[in-house]
Amino acid sequence: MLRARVDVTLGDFDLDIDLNARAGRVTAVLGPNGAGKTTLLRCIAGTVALDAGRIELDGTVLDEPPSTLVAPQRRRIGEVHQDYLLFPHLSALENVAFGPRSAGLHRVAARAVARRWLARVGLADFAEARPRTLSGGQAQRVALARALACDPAVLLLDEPLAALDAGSRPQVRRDLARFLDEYAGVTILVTHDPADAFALADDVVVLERGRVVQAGELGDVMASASSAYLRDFVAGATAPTRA
Amino acid sequence: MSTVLPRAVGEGFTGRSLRRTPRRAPWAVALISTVTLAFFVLPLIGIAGRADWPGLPRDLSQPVALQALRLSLVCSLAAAAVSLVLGTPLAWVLARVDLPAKSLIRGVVLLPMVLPPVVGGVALLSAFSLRSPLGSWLHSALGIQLTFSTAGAVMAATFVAMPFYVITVEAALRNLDVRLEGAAATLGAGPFTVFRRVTLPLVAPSLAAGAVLAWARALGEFGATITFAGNIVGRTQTLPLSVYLLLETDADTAIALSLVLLAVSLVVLVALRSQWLTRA
Amino acid sequence: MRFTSITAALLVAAAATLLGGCGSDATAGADQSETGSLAGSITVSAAASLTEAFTAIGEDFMAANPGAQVQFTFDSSSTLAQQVIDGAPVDVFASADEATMAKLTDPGLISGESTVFATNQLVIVTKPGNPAGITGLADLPDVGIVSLCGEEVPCGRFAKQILDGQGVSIAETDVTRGQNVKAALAAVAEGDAVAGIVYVSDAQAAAESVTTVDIPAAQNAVATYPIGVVAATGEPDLAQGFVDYVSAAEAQQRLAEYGFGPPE
Repeated sequence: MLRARVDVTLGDFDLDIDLNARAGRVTAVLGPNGAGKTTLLRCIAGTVALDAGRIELDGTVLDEPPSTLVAPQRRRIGEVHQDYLLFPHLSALENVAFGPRSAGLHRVAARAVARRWLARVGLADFAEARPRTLSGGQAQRVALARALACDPAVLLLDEPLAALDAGSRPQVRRDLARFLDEYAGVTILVTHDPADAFALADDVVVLERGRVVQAGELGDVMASASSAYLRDFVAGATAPTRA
Repeated sequence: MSTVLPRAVGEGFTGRSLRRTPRRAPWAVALISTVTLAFFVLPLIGIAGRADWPGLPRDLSQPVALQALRLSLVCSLAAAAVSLVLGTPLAWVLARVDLPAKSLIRGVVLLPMVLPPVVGGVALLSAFSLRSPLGSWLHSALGIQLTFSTAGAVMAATFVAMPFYVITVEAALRNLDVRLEGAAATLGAGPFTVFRRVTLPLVAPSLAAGAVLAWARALGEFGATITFAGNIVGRTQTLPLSVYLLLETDADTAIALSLVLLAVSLVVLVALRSQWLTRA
Repeated sequence: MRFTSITAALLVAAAATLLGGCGSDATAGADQSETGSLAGSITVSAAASLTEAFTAIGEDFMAANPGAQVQFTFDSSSTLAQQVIDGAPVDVFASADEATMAKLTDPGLISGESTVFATNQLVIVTKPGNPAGITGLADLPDVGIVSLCGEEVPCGRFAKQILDGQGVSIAETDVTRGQNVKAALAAVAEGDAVAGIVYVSDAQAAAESVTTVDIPAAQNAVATYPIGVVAATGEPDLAQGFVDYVSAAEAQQRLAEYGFGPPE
């Protein structure tokens, strides 16, 4: 269980959020641009420190100013960024093995772990491929494998399908849904795409201007859409999908 | 997958590249470009024509020439190495750290690039000669004299060459996607591991290019060397100094040595071309 | 720039002739200061050791000939000679030794003959106070870095001549070579060279920044300074006028003030 009480100010932008995310469930974070979704992810990942509040994972405090601040590399958190951020100079296998190696695993053992994960995402044959030779969907799967290979307690997905063209999205979304079902940790998914939310999320948190305006289970939130953003969002979900 | 061409990460992959139709230069542009090119090519042709080609091996194997060649090699390589070791941390700080008056600091670091080299030599003298506080302390406490020494020649060459290295590496570090380092951290890598396994490999080509630029600049250094390290055969008389003095006495050897410098510089520039074009 | 100065000089010369101006006096040593009607602009390339003396002489000459402009280039005689051979627009050449002047007179680059106008001798210079306690040439190999001129520069040749004459040999790795005598001097006066061999006139010009150690006359060399008009000059009258002036009483007085000896 991830409990986050986030109070942070960056420039003229401030975030004041209370969020709980349960293990084994996917929590979608929705909201217009500038609502603070990515900043929230950064706070959970540890690349942005809180000004006040507390982030706690399964009872361990990750960030509680002024006393506690656990560095990003010591948090058991996996991240899939919308640009995937695969290391261009490493092969797919080496990318996936990066986490295990950083954890101290010997090179051979790390590569074995990586091979298993690549196989699980269906890319066993692409182990030696460089990221620039991969298609969008393949890169996304490598990024997912890379994040999961660290055995994280929290999986952060920042618009994971946004970089894909509309034609590839449905299939990739289905694959992603399958993985998230199997994943036992906390998943937080930031997305603009209604289809993502409806296909993947169990719980929903709606942010606007740094504040939570609605939170709850997917069905409940969508049915009682109280903000204009959410109403448009729902309307977008029922409209034919555009490119 | 789908029938639509998949969009790939990074530079893109379509499996078939479109050939561009070759472009022709408008005649005025071509004319001026030819003149400009001639401006650069004619001196090369001139010196090649002036040279005593059959006598080249003999000229270059004279003791004075050999000493100069050896010293130039040693000093330029040493200057490049020092630039690499001392310049990388500085480039990192300039690219990543929030410093007050960073523009001023960068300006100071890059100053030797625009300063007349002799002025650089005078500045080095003021700081390190036996009359300076630092220089006299080095001499009395450690018996070290930097002026009139090979180490001094290396210092002079490094002074003018390192800015080229720093500016190249700083640019590369700036162009690096910092988010990659953030991703590495999220995957569990500590700061030094991030530097070693992500940052360094990605900027390595620029480190090499910067080191080569610094080396080439160090090879051609004259003013700072002759002012600070003096002109001592076998100790500080590098190729450019040697050419300058030999021009009056043994012009053939001077020209032979000049050709060596030209050839080396040309090779360096041609080899670096792809670096400059792709890393822009 | 050269062409406009030629045109201007011709116009002035024409005007001067119309007004009954003076012609050039070809006899050496003639005193021309009372005529003062030489005009035009010339460039004089002179050995570096003549820097202070010729600058003063140039000012005297221009004061005496208000229509005249003299510009100087000072560097090692060998460098300057090479520039003349390469076609540099120089009107007068003054060298620190006759061997270098011969490089120009032999191929006919000098009008007529050159004239010796001064002599100079060499001296050891050290840091102020002579901390190394140098007493003579024999001490030089052991003091550290010694500053000499390049071997093709007259003062470098003379230094070699003097050292060889006394059987003194300084290791090449202890010798820093200056491209002209002023650079060699600077290495001692401003830099870290322990001692050097330069002309007496240079040591004098350096005043307190160096201490001198005499070289006994028996061991010393005498540098004879010739001066000549460059054949390709566009200002033969003014150039000759300057050459004559240098041998005249006033200029000779100046040269003595700056440490030079009389032409022998």
